[in-house]
Amino acid sequence: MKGISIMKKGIALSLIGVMTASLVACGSGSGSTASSSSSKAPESSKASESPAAAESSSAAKTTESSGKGITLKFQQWWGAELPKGYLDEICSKYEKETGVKVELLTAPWSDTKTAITAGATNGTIADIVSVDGAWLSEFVKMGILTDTSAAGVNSSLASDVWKVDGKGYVVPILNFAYPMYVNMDILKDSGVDAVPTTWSELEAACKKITAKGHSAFALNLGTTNANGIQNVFMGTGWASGIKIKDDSGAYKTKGNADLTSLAEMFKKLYTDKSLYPGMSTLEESEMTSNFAAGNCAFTIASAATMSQFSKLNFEATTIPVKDGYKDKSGICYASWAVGITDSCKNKKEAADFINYLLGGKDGTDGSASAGLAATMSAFPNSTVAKPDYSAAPKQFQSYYELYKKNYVINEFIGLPNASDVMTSMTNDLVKYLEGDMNTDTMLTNWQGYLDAAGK
Amino acid sequence: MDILGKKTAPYRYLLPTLILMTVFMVVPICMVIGYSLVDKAVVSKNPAFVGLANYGKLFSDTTYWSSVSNTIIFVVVSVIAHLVLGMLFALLLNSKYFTTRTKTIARVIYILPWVFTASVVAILWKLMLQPSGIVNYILSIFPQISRNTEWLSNRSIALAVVCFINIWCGYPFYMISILAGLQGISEDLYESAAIDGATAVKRFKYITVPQLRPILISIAMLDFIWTLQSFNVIWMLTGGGPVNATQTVSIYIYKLAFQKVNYSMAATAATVLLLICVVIAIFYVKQQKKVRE
Repeated sequence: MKGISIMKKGIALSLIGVMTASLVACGSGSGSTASSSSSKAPESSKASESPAAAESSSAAKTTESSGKGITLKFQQWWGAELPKGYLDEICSKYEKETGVKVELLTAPWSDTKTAITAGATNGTIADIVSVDGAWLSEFVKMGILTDTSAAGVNSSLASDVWKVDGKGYVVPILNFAYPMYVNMDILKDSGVDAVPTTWSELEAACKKITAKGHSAFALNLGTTNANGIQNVFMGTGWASGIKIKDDSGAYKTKGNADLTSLAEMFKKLYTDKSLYPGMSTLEESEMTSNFAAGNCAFTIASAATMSQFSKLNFEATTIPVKDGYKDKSGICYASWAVGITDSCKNKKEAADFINYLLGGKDGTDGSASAGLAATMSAFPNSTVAKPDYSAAPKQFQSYYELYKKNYVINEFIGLPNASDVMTSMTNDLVKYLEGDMNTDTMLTNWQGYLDAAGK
Repeated sequence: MDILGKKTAPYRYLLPTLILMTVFMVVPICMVIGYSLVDKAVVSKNPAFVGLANYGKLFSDTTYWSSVSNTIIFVVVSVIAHLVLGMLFALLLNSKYFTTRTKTIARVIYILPWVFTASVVAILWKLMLQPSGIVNYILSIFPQISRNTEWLSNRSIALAVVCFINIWCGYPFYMISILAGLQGISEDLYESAAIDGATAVKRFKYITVPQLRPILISIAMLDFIWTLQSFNVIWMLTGGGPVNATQTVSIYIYKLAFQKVNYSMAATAATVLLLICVVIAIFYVKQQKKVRE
């Protein structure tokens, strides 16, 4: 009986120990959360069950001092969107060549910003973080990022480095262009003979498509991740040389006649019922899913989502331009970019890894960047990468030719509090399209948001 | 020593839990309250103490008050509907007119909405309610509904739709709790009332409700607190849109923190919400004490 009693107490104590340990483990946060599918865009519009808790794992500390035995933690969403094991292979190869281990902390794009800011708050931030253009200004203001040149990143390997106040903080590795995808079967069924290339052709095509009972043009104005205003609305504007900045680089929306015409074009699409219904809560991931399901004729989305449409008869092309516009088209782009955190104890090694991603160990081997670009249907920011797109979908190859003839632009990169500004702009655009606000008021409001950003 | 050991034994057993609660609950709450009293918390290495200025800014923000208004509507409608539906289903499951087997199967079916996680609920309903979804397909027999009718994207009805979905996934909790209470009511009371000629309505009003009162008050208070803090379902359905039509206080706080990166104001709004929840929790505890007495 005494033995049984001792055994029972022992079992009870071990259970208490296990429960305590698991509570502590849960409380330290969880590491990576796998994402489903493709595209850089927020996936299923879910921020995850506990958005603030989707942070990078465990104890901070990148350990050790210089030389062998260094481990760099790399917080990114790339691993969730690349083929399984692809990024791990790059890191393993890097470790074999240099002895520096790169530990991947993978979370979906929609959780990465939360993971980084939470990590910055509690001192568990990674050494290298992937940064979206909309987060740049906030991260610099919060002191999360360090000067890449000072850390040792070779800027000659990159076509572009994102700067704030003259200092480079983030280096894009891949650029994703935003073509307009066209469902050719819907066009054929609706009697539209050719892919529209101007606004009036687009309006006419959308009318025919809607009359046939199909959905014509998708404009995602959901505010969980308010990127429709950038990718679709301004993407259409940039294609026709319409900008929200003036020649001096200052934001200028109030009294901007070109923006007025762009807004009016979308208003016409709305009143013609050509815009995909449910636009004011439509997220980018749903938009691409709808297109993949054959529900919509025209969708503007990242080139990285092209693999989702393999079963469709589709084309990828530049966005129709304003009637009479003859110059090159601006192509909206987003990037997979990286920065080194200010709290990183091995900044030189972190810079070396970024240099490796761009130009290999010796600065002439762009294979890592080229491979990433070809795999993700993106364009490398590396000056030495020569991606082989022969295995890419034919639509991507033909779009690449169009891409080379035009230029990339994204006026929201570096905008302070970009998420908040874009959400406010989106809300006003919804009110405008639904007839509750006129163009002048909307553009004046936008001017206010842009002027007040970050202040 | 033995007496000391005996006296401290309860506290020693509680110690691990108290430590964990202190580290994972008390400390973060105190930090958040601290953030509400400074400017540029988290984003600045030297946040300045501003006292109650953040609270002044919060209460003068019209977006905050519209979030409060949405929250009140959402909470009141959800709690009342949960109560009514939960009672209805519990009475059905407690009815003598169905066999045990039927009631068991029905119980499993009725409880399913509560079993699904918030993300599953949001994805399912979003798919069903999208313009090309099954809801429009079925309801298009009515002339007012077409294949392009917007539910979650329509500013005038989005909040009502979100309330409906929240009611759908929350009523089983009430149902199970009330069912347990119903099964604890003595049959003698009903028999006596029946002998005295009381109708079914009178038996419900004068026997069932008074007997269930402690349970009803408890679960209503709990549901009030949970619904007040409800975030996941609303965020995944609409993100607080369209144009803040479904933005509740919890969504407002989230946007302040992670979109505007204004942790001080987010902490301020969160502290106000905490105070409201604490007040309700105090009433709940007092209620529980009364029940035990």
